[in-house]
Amino acid sequence: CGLPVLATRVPAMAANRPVMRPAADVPVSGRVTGADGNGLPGVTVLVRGTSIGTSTAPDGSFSLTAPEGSTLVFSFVGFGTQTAVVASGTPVSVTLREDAKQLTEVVVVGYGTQDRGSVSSAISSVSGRDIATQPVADPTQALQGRAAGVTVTQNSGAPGGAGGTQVRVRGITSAGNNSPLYVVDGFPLPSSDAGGNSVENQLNAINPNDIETIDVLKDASATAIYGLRAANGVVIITTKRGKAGTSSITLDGYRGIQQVWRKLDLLNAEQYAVINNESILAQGSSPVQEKLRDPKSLGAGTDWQKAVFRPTAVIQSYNLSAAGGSEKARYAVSGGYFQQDGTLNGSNFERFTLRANGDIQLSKRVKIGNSLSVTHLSDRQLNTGNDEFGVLNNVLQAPPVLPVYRPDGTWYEAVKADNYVEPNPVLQSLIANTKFNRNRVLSTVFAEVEPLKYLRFRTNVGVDLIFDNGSGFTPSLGPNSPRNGPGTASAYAFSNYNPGYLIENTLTYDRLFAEKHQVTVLLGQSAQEFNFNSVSANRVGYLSNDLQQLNNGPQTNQTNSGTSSQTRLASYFGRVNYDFAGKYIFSATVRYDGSSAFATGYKFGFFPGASVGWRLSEEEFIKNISVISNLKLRAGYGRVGNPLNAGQFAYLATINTGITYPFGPGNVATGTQTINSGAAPTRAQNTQLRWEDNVQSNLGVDVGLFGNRIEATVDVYNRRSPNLINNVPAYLVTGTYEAVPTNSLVSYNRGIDVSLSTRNLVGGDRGLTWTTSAVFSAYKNRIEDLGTGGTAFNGATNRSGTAIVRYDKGQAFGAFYGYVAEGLFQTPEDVKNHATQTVNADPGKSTGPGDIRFKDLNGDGKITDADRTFIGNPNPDFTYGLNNTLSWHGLDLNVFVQGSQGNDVYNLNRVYTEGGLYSNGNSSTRVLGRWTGPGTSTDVPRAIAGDPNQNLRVSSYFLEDGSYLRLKTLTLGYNLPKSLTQRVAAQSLRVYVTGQNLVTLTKYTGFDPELGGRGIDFGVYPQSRVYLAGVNIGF
Amino acid sequence: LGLLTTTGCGEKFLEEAPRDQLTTQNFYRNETDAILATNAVYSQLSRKGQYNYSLWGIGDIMSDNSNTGGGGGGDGAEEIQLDQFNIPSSNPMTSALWAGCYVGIGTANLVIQKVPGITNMSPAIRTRCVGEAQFLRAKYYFDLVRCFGDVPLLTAPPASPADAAIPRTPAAKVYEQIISDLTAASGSLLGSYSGSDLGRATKWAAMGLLAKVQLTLGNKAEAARLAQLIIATGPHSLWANYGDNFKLENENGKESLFEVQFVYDPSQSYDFNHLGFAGNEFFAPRGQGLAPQGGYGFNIPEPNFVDGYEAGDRRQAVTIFKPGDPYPAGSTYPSQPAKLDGSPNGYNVRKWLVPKTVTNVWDSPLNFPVLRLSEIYLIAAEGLGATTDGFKYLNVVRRRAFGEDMLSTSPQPHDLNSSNTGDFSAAVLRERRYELAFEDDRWFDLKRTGKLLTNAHLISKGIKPFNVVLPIPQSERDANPNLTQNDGY
Repeated sequence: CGLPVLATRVPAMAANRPVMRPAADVPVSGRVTGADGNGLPGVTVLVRGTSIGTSTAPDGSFSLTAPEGSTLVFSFVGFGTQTAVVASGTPVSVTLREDAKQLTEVVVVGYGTQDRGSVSSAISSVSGRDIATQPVADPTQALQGRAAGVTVTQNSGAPGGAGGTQVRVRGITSAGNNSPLYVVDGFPLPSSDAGGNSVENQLNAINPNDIETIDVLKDASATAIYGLRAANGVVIITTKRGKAGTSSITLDGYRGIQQVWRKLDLLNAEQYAVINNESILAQGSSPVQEKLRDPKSLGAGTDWQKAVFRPTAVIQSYNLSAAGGSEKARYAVSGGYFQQDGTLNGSNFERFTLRANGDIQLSKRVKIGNSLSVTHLSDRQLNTGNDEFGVLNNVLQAPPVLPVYRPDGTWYEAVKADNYVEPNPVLQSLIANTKFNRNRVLSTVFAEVEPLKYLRFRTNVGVDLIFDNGSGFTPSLGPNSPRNGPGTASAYAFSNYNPGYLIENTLTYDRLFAEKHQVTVLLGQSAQEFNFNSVSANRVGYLSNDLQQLNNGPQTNQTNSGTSSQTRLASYFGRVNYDFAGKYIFSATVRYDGSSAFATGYKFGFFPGASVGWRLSEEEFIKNISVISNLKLRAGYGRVGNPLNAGQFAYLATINTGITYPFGPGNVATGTQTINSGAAPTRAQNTQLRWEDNVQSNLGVDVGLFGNRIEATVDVYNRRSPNLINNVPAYLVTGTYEAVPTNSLVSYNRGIDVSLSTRNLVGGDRGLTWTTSAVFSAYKNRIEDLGTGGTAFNGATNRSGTAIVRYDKGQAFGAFYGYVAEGLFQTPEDVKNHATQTVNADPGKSTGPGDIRFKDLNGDGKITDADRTFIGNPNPDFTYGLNNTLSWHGLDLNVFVQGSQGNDVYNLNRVYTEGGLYSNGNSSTRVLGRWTGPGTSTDVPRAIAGDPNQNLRVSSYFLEDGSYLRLKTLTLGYNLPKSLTQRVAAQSLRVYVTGQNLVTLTKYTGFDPELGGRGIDFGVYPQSRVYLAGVNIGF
Repeated sequence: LGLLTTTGCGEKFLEEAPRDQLTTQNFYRNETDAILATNAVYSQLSRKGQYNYSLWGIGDIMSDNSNTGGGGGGDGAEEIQLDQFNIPSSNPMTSALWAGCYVGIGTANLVIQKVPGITNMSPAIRTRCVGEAQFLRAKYYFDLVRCFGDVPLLTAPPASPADAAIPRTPAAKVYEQIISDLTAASGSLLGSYSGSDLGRATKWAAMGLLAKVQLTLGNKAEAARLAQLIIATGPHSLWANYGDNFKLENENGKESLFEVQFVYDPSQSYDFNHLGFAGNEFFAPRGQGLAPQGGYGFNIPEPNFVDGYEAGDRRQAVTIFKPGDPYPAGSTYPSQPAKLDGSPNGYNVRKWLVPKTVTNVWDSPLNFPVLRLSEIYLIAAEGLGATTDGFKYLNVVRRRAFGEDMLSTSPQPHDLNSSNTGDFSAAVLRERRYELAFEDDRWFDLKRTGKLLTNAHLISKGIKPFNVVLPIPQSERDANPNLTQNDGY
């Protein structure tokens, strides 16, 4: 326990012994199999007392040259070690047996590692193998459905994961940012940008192929070692390192195509004209548009989805990596290229990665090493979802009666006569020449010294340099363009430089006393600094489209800005692990963490955590029960923090320089006077503002049955947040009027994580093998108290600024708030007998039959703001993942299913897909079932221009069940027989085909039920369905 | 490996200051900062919590001078609540007054605390800034104490919101602070300004306000002393015509001791917190096209008020529209009709009407008087009582109203004297009603003279004894449990 990654990943070594006599080297070969008779690949084979060694091929075979009579040591993680004596000409056949006691899966716990068996807190691990099998740019996307308690949502299907991946460890505990802390090779990444906004797409700078494991620390007893930043869980990413005595070169590549998995059924030109005419006539004033008079003559019109979605967008990835080394020096290097076109025209992503990790044993007591990752990525992203003016929303709105191009081949842009003003979405997706580049260097260097036996000092220094730059030019389309006429051409450029630095020192004492008392003590110190610098500029009114640089634009219409900020963290931490005879486990952690973001006297916090474990399976009374191979009870408790919602310097009162007042003589003709600036703070300072705390308790059980053929882990947890930040309305006697961020909100979040893995069939070498793993996660959260002076507050709003989300006592985080829709009015009497919804004498401008009936909750006879209530909850009842792997002869089949159940989605996108009932935009075919007279429809309102009843207001009408089940990936692979691979000088060669998002079962009617942003569909960039073929070659 | 020590001192390592934003920690460092901070104190005057909204609701509509008007139905609900003495603790007009005054006081407290410590500035400007802040702090506290009675008294910026959550301070203590501030300001402020500083508070403004405060407290002799001092030694004089006070070309004119600076705001916005006066739009006859949005017809003069004008009082035509009054250029209608929506008798306030050409949506540039010399005359008169000098000061104001020679030593036709005036106090109060009509003063006058509960008109509107003070905003009481509510609310 407590050993650093590098030390434990090295196969067990026997003590150096002097070789008694020189012996002749002889060739020796053989095969290593598991208990099931299958060949075991990757088993380390070492000649005892030397660094001579190799590892087994995929079929378990090996060959090397060793001194006759020497001993070969066969070791493999999770298996008992075996030895064999080298005898010339005799093939060695070894069977390694898994041993629960020896099941030394290593878990990264922060500033060290532990054997899985001695872990008493809640940690989920996902191996690099599972990550690399998924065609994703952002490795965190591969956690989806594979780690219990970790809810992963892709914010959008934009290429390169650029839309961000929302990772939530054990639900939501804050109204603000709930992102976990990411630690890559010991370097904690910045969790937010300069503005305090969460950065959810930074992991796409890491090549998924380079990852050895991702360990997710979930409960506070595990995360407390990261203190201040650990409340939302810690995701530790460890990259691949070389192993002594092995050497491998692998080439991985895949190439495929992507399509949107779902398009919406939109109206064709004829249907559009019918609806549009009907809605205008219903209003009773405007005449029907001339060109829509004869709908039948219009035919199908433009299919805007077809025009903007690529039928086959390319995705491809190639990686070449080499790893190996000796006891003295080990290396892992790789180079990767990933490229992905978006399914939307004009969006693309490209990434180059280089990695070089090394370890050098300088002497028996001194070791040095490094991790270096260099990434260049560049992309062109479209303004898509979550924006009123996004391409996707315009695809849905654009009338099919408008063409993409004019007859002369130039872009068609809507003119006044079209009664439509939004941009042509195809043009919108392609017009601007934009580019974003990110270069990121993440590097750590460490040195480890063992000054005394059992004592290890380690110093780790790291940098994370992020260089972003981007530019764009939007040309003018000439004098006839209604939207992009002369003078509109514009250019922008920006550059960000965000360097971060880390230095940490740890001292580890690790010793087994009296063969039963394993004690590990860790003491450490860490200091980290994040810097954010940005400059940006733009110019408008370019006379020509030829020269697109800033300098070529007019200086009379330019703006620029620049910002700079810095945050620092200073931390001290310690951990004690005690393990008695492998039965009783105790771990205690404390971190004293300080951040520069807070006021003097409020910078530091104390974050303790502790856990205990009892391995019942080591007790005599259980040992006799042969069915039970592993049984462990765990309990943990701790307190951790989340600084993301406090913001930097939010405790200070910012001076508002925009307060104005006129002085001086007035100008009678114009009514003007000199307007003077004034300055004062408009928000009270709250020097006591601190991070949000999270107090967590965890109970868990690990079970292994039938020699661990069935393994299960169940954890239940309770997370209480006693001082979440709420913007408390200003107390005006302070002299300020802006709400003050205050630690006042109280909430809880409780839930259960279950993971189960079974080896259902354990065939022989070429027999059928079938393994299953499943994860299940469920949580519930509630706001318990708003705190003194705290009032309910609004979250996300629709486009007109009306709240969709409201945070209130007794409600779940992100609960939807609005009117309750109760079907449609069928007759004028219905309208009359119901509470007044709109007041207007003109029937074309007030509520009528066919409009939505909203519930009069307070019974005052009027439908007002007071009739809004909580109408839905975006938090799922549970999420799950199910992974099945079958192999038979050289074939392997992997089926991965993942889903979410019981979450509501507010489908705001229906403002567009049903907007055609009320305006001149297009709609989905759902509106064909609209109300046209009593009894014609009970769910789709009438068509009436102007929407006098405000059917589009925030109401339960737009609420949908967001549950889905998705066949996330399906992979069929084939390992070529050795006879064939040797022809290309390869040790192994596997070919495979993969399909991603092949099947999605959902009742949800929008593009995709997988939505970031707390379950509000603003028009999300849909996920792709991917078909690809790939190859892995090992040399 | 010795790096342990370099990062060992945590607190020091974490000393960080914002680099790209101004905060209370890196502001207040030079003369520019001091002036900016002082300007901010003025800004509340022209906003919602003072002359742009709250004060005409409280001073005019809640008095016997006028009623709500407007479009009927739910239009002007907050004015109606005041008008009919059915005032919830959430009333927007009373809440806005609380907010505006305390925000003004907060900015004033910062100036008074920070500016004296700025060494890098002209001593004269330093003194001026502090004096201006003291004057304005007194002005805001004066409105608070008159409206709400006991109110929390803060004379320094609180360190945190909790530090401001203090109980209500007795009104007498608040008045002590007001008097102290005004006394200091009338000693330190300049007598006049020119150029780009025109409109800042003068020593005369401070002295005049102090006179009004003393009158409110019943210290008649002191009020009279101050008012006479201003009349005798100040630079001010009365316009020959009453109406000249309310013209764009006479802003910050000779009769003005202090006025709110309003300006045409080019941003078309429906907001009481812009730099222009919304009253132009709100008071203009409803839908008659005299204001940019046609006029909303609020603040309708009561028949009792209109009927009270003496024949020949020239102030009437300046102050109100009556049926048949011709409209100024710009309207599509020739004259005031006999009846309008919200104004059954065809009356409207005219005083603040500005031609449509120089005004904007809700943003008229006409300044609004806080203290005019004619009021100082009336304060002097009231302070002196039914004495020769008392009548003299009162009659100066009356003579102008009737177009008579203000300075004549011989009696004039409309002069009041001990033989034709039985109740001198009532005469002064009546004169104030017409001289200062729709200058947001009437409710305060009725209150300080103890006439709120005996006024027949207000009784008919349903005034209750506890309405002599207004409700403390509920939202404030939610934040500060120490804040008690006035009885009855």
